[in-house]
Amino acid sequence: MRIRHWVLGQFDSAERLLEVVRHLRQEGFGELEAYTPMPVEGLAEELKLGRSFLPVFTFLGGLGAAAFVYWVQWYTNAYDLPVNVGNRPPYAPLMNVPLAYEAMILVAAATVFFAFFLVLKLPRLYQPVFEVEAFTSVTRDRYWVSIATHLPNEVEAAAQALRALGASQVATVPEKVHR
Amino acid sequence: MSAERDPQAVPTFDPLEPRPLVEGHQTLGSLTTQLLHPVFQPPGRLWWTLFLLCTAGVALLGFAVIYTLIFGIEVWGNNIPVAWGFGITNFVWWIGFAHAGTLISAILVLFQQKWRAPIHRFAEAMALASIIQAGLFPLLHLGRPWFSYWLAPYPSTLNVWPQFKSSLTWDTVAVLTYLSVTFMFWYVGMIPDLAAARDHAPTVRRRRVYALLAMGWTGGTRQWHQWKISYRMLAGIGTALVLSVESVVSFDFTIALVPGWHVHIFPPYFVASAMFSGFALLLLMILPTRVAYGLEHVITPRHLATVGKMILLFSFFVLTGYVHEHFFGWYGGDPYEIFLLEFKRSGFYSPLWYLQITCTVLLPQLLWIPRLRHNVFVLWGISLAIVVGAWLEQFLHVVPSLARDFLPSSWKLFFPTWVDWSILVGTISLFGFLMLLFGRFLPPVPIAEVKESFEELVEHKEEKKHELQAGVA
Repeated sequence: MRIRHWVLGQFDSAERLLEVVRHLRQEGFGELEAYTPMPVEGLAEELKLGRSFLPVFTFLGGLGAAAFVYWVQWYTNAYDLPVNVGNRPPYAPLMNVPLAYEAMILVAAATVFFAFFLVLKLPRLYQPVFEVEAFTSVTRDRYWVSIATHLPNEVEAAAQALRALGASQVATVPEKVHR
Repeated sequence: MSAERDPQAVPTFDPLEPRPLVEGHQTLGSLTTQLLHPVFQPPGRLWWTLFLLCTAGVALLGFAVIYTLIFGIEVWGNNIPVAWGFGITNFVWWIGFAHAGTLISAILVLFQQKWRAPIHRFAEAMALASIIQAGLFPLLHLGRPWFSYWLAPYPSTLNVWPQFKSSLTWDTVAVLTYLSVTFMFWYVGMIPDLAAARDHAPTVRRRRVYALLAMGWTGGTRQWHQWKISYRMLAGIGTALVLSVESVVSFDFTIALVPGWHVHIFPPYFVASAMFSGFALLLLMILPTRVAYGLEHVITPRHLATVGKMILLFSFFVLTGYVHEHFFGWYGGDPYEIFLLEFKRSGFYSPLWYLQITCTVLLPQLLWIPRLRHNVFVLWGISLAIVVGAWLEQFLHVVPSLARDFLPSSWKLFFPTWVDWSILVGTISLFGFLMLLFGRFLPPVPIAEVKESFEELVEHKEEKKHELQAGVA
């Protein structure tokens, strides 16, 4: 069992936060994360977050569901037990479209919804950053940065770097990692 | 003071600049406190009065529904040939309201309209509550709703599969899809604000509940990044959905051969009419709520005026629908269609038709006048008229066509019974019940998005200041 140390620093504005993140990357600190009260332009690029494949999965999932539901309608109404309803043809391609379309939308939305939780590994009610009582300011009007490291001697260096960059508060949280 | 109080006052802002989306002297902290205030303050006497009234209405609904289930659809005003009365009228009316919720949530995201920010959570909650009301009616009007599982294609001993070429089957899937997708969109959008409620909750118990609902949201960049992607995708999907759901609902009419129903304009006309009525219901609820919760600086006169303009625009779409219906009905030359349209204009139900035109087309024209568009009482009155007019519109879609179809020997008028009225009033109360609970326990205005708006406003002001200084220097 190892201990991961989280070093947190609080800053007062989004611009400052962007500069801090840039500096920390240049100084070579690895596991960085920034926390903000609302989405901030440019932060995702600074942290080099990769491209998401969610749109592709959603599209494929939606098409697959549409094809499946279209097939179910053909199988049940035209092949397995066709029933003469008002002398309409048992297989009518256009009439199978609404249900296929709705199924496409439902599965696409469900893909996005569940992917949101899976990718972020939520629900995760315990987060190490919650140990710091002052962290509740992140949903109010303060911006935080966290540096995570396994090396105890990096902890002090990270804390000093944050203080040097003008953090109004610095805190350290140890997290037991079972891996 | 704001132009809301005195529209003739000389504006203190630059008229070439759009009015700010957040008014007054605010900070991120003050906005957070104010927007969480409705959730944390104990409910007042007004809330309790409305809540108890709605609870009484829900009890009435329960009684009327059980009465219907025991004695059958005979206790409604439905007869042969008017087999669809209040059931489908109310279904289409309620589903219509939901569409403005999705328009504001989803379609306006795609058009990058920032003014949607403070009102979209309310609109989505309104959409959810409306879909729940709408869903009751197709179930109940089946007559034997306990057999509704027959609509699903499960392997059964009945030796028959569901009829998938029927719009009634399409409705089931469309409404269930709409309910699920609206819920998903609403919930994902709300997670950051639930985290804000968690962090500033006054008691430990409330903190725990919001913590559970917020699922561990920290505001980290990875989380915001994924949130933005998911939100935009759900917005795109929601747009595709809302256009299809109302079209599928209109197919209930258009795939039939009954005069007055087989009308080509119905799908887009129903979509437009739905959004129209939804905007009206949104205003109807938000005008008193923003005063009660002290949110006038966030849901500003600019927002209200914009919604007013949308209502004016949509009244023209609806007018186009009416003109299409009557002109092409005449132009097509079908004698049954022509007779039916005459019946609508001059028959037994025609006073309702004139009332509908007044409420949905004539009264909204008052919104051309800026002074009236900025007057909250006028906006509220027109919204109420539109909501009533929308109900009349659905009634007049359903009933006259069935009361006067092909054979005169089948003609019969429709009159609602006390059960019909009780269920209608009951669903309105259930809607109110759900909206009151929403306003009490969940943040009604999106906190993170309003703060984002506010930051952009601050940046914009600073840029202008630099420009002015550079100009002067």
